[in-house]
Amino acid sequence: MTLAGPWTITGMQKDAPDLEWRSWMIPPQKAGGQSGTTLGGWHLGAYSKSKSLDTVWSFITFHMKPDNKVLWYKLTARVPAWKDVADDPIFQSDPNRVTAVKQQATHLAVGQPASPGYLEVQAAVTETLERIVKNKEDVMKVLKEEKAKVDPVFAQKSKG
Amino acid sequence: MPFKIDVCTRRDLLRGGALAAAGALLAACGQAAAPTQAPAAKPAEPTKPAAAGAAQAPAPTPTQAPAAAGAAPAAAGGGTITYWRPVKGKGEENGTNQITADFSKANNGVAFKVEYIPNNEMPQKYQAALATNSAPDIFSLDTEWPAVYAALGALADPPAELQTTIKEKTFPIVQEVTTYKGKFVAVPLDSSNLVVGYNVKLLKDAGIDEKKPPADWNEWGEMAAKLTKRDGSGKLQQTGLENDFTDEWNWNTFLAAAGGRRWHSLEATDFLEPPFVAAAQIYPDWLFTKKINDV
Repeated sequence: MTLAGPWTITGMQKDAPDLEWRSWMIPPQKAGGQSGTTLGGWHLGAYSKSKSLDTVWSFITFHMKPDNKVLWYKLTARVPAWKDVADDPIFQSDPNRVTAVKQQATHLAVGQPASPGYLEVQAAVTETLERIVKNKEDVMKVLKEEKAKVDPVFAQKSKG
Repeated sequence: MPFKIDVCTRRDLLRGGALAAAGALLAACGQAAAPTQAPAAKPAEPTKPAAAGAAQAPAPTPTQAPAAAGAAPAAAGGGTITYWRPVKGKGEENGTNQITADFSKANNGVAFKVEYIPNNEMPQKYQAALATNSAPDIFSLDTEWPAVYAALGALADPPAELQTTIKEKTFPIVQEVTTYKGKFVAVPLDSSNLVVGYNVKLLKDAGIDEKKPPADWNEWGEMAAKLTKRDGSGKLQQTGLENDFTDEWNWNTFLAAAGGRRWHSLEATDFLEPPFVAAAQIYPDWLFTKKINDV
């Protein structure tokens, strides 16, 4: 088994087209619970000091027309961020892509407010995993120590 | 220095390692060496730089020639629309080329200058550009970057109509990462996530019914243990679960599947909440007790 992303689908099509592989959604921690997954992807933003903001928003709006979104997902093999095109046939063409889209739809927001302190927490999680997995340190000890280190910075950064 | 960003994401670099997943499936089929390490050969490389040296000096790459050389109509407000994209491979470049060209054709030849930048260099590029008021008209923002740049005052609010469209038509989880202080500050473009991929033949060989996905982590771990093969000396011959166990983005999969997040308030993280602890504990349980892989 492996944790498979959209790149796995395209990679396997290219390099091992005859190998039969399939996919499941991520099992919940406890039976009967909600599946969940990690989230990646890209967004578009407009520079606040742009001298062409009207044109920028016009372009981004154009990019988000259904036909252009489908074109984008077809060419990039990415998972849709937009549910209004998630039923398009391009997402039904491969059983593993079906799983990825289904996983996306069941991955619920649970109220993590956006924070500019994200990057500091990200670094703390990385440090946590390094200590647990590579150094084999005690999980609770590591979590307590990393939380103590990152929380003040996170709270400060979150004030914006 | 108002635009200082202290930490740069390493996730995209690490995500390149996740590309080895396909290689792991291959290896498990006996077509390559035993997958005790992430295979060096990558089956797909969406983050491959366009050209050697691009990492040091990414060259501006116009996506299409104007209708007449040197005579491209200016965008409203003057100038060409500058648009920074991450280096993600030909598929994304083709998509960007086609959509900017179509927009240009429909809008009196508005000109674009698209620059492709390796993912891991984007924060530094943005930081430098913001410090000199020379940022691109259009930002490409990795998953959680919108709040970071919004807090710096770098992002304009999308128009009200677009705010409504995003709210109505995007997946909830995507909305969570494109808002800041109660409003959208970026427009979701695409996503990626992780699912459990398995080699059908290897499951059959191990007597696992693929029609019955693991109901919880306990069953998942048992399956992984069944699939793991070691020789008489304990050397790993076949992994039970291929994964980069130090990658925080991959690990987020477990946090989410335990019903957790990294924080729920802006005052403190959730590091000691039960879902966080469960997700942190599962790796040592599987690696050091069930021994489903080596690290």
